Amino acid sequence: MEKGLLQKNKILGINILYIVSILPLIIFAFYKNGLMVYNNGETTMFLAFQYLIIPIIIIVLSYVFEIYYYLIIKKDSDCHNVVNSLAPYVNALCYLVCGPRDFLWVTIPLIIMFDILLKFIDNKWSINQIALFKCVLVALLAITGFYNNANLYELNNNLNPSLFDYFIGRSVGCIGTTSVLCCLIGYVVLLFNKYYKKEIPLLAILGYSIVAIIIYFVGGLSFTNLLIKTFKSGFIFAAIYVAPLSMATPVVKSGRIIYSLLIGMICAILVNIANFYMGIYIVILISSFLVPLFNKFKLSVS
Amino acid sequence: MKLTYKFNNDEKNLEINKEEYLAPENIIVYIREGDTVYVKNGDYVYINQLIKEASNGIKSYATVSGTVEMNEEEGIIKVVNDKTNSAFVSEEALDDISEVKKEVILEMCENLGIDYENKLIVNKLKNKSKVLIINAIDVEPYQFNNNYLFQDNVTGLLETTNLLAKRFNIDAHLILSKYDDNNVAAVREIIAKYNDINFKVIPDVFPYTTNQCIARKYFNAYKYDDILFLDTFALYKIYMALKEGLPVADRYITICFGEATKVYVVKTKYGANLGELIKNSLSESIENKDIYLNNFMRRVKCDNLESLVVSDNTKTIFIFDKQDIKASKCIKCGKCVDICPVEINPLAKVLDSACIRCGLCSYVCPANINLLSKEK
Repeated sequence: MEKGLLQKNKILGINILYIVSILPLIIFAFYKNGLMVYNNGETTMFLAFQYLIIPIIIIVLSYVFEIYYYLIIKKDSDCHNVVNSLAPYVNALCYLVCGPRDFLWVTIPLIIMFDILLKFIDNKWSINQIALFKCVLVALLAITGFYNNANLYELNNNLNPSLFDYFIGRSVGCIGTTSVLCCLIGYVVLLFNKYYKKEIPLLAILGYSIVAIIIYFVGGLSFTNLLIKTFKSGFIFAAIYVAPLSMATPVVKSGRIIYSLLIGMICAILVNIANFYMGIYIVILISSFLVPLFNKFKLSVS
Repeated sequence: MKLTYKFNNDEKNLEINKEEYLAPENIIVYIREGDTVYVKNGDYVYINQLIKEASNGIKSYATVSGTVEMNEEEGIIKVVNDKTNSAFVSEEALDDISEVKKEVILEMCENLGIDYENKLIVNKLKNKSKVLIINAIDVEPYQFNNNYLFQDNVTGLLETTNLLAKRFNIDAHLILSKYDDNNVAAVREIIAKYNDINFKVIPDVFPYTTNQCIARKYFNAYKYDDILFLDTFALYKIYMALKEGLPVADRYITICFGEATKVYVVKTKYGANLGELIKNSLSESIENKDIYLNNFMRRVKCDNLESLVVSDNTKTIFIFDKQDIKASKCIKCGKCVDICPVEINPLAKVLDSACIRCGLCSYVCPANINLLSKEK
């Protein structure tokens, strides 16, 4: 007999789609930062494969911690909360926003600790975990003077990527955020996830495009230049993966529209005028704090 | 009967089986404090004989003929069916109801004290509602009682609507589901005779066929309180009161296994035991099943079907395999807000008074949270 939809483990399905959506990014990160560097003789086989091993370790460790948190600390009698947790997906995304040479193995405990810390406060605050992680990481690296987004191959070779290279992702940037193509493939996968807020990336890109067009006409930046800056800044990755993070986005449709357009517009200014690519994460982080405010933009009931 | 049914954007082709359970072994009437009981232990009662009257005027009638067994300690009046179907016949039965006067309509509705709903109807008619809407669509999910009731009594129901419109000088609108092909065709054939009725077909998409949603979408020029909504069953009760001078003894209930894997519409008697009804008319076991009354999405489980009898509030019975519904942490996906037909935020700690308790928010929740519950 049909059980109905009351107790189909829907979040497990959502989690699988989320993880599948980042697989192209992880594979491309392994190719760009691992294989390409290894082929040029600038790293060892083990270090090349770390780009594949580390995200797997992060996902597994995230589940281990979820088990500890729910079964031991929260004393849940079963593990449905563990199975349903979005932490592995979020933590894997945190890994993808790290720089390719940022003490990669150290990021594992850092990401997990971050997750633990936020678990105890996220009921009270609406925080975009990925954006916050990125801001903290960059601040730490900037203070210590280690902040650099180029991998060994990019560091040792003077590359001049074309627009197509930027689109494919063969350019300097975080581990998994450079490839617009992979992000778009991921977005297509996410479209099958009915709990993913798919309008947020579209509206953020729309808001971004409106401002970019104004800059094109008023500021005199060429169309190619605008596209290169957009691809280079990782805005597409942020719009598809970071901004729609369900825990830190408005639940009300009108709130979501304003949230997305605002992020897109401000990001366009920061990227194209101020050349401040890190600003994307700061904007998303600040917007996530304002989510309770965005949730107030709702249609009134007569 | 085969029909197309849309629910939560899914379109299903359903096959609905019609069954009857009109000769239950006994019927039960519960006695509550303040009720006036008109029968005593050992009495013989006929169908349509008054058994008790509640303090609010609601009257309960025998729906089978037989001997009364009273258990005052448990507050139960049981009528053991002798299966002779001996019934009272009213002297006030009419062949043609088209000439019935306004006062008679009010008096019949009031005197029969059919149910609480009819009390409201009488008050609304007296208070001059501006518009009468016959909502002939079953408003709960996977419910098909009105389809059959309407099909059985098309002419009588249209006559009654027309009469109410004329006598109370009120705009009458008949709302039918556009997927209800048989009834739509039947009404189209004869509606020209009833020129006081405006006929409208709308998509039957739960919960947009609830009175609140219909009022908001199609009749927003009127205040909600100025509208008198009647469902098919309430209208049928008025029709029976005018035509036969009698209360209604039997009704349709829908029995749904899973989410419409198997659907039965059973015609049965008021007061019949629901457990017996399922066992005898459908030959299905209800052991180890989860049972929900009327709307499974509200997640109010019925622990013991054996203790329930058919009443005005018994419209649909959902029978699911036993399942332990565990809620997990909210992922704030916003689906509950997106789907809410009255555009409120079900995640709010205190539910807005505009909530129609349709339960769709809980239904779409991937974390299985019961958003209608206070402990969310």
